[in-house]
Amino acid sequence: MNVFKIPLDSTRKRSYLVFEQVQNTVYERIYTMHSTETTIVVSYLLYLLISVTLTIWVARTLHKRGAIFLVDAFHGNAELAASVNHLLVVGFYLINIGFVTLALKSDAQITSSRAAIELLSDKLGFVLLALGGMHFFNLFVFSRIRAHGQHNVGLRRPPVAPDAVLKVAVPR
Amino acid sequence: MEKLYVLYDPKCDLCERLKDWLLVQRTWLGLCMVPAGSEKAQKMFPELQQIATCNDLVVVSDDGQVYLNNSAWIMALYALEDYRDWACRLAHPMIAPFARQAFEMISKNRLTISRWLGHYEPDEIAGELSRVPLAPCAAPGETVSDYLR
Repeated sequence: MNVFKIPLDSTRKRSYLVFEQVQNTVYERIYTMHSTETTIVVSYLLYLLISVTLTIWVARTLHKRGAIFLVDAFHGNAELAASVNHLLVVGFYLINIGFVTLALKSDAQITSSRAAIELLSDKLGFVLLALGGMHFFNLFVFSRIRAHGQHNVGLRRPPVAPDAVLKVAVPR
Repeated sequence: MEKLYVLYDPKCDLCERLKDWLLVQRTWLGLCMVPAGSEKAQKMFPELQQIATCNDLVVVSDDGQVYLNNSAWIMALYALEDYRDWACRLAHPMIAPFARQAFEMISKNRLTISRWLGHYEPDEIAGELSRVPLAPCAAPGETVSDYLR
């Protein structure tokens, strides 16, 4: 009996060992999968947080500093200027946040924190460029509106005198 | 002044061209084209018959100011977004008599007249414009408005 006992036991031990090894690799795989998932989610969240904060900051700057421009362009009509300013900022938010959310998705396999940071900076770089482009476009719109308004004011009087004036009112 | 009524001579080629051209421009003031001598014109401006008889172009503003001939051509340009500053330059007394030639140049060769207005003195611009050929119907002759002045 004893003769049989040792080999049996040893095979059982071996099978235990094999089983444990398999179990360990599965765990490891699950663990690494889990950590990749976490890394990408954390990068996405960081990306959203930073880019939305940046958008809000740029929009507020535009709103605050653009107001003076617009009041001047609309010849002191502060109400109209505020309304146009608000509409411009709403458009700015919509375009930028739309861009940010569309640019979120990435197919990159994130295996290390280094890759995560690279991906994040890649995406943020695009967002910053888009924000910069939109910002300058907005500045262009502001200056265009202002130039337009001033041009109109500077030349409001007709350059020639009328030859005659009708006594009867012109029908409208 | 919000609106201009442009009474053009339908028999004059240049005036016809001005009308078609004005209709496709961006404007500061509303523009309403009325053929001169038509029923509509007589109904709208009965007084005008005594003021303007043989003019090629008459512009009446909605506040009743009447512009004849050269002034009318300048006022038509004045109503346009892209040509208001040109109208102000063309109103110079030395250049104003060539307002039709200026329009001819604007509608056909914008770049050249833009260069003249940008760099030349008024007498030089007048000299250049006087050389621009015009159809005989549009050549300014003696009109009632010339006596009115």
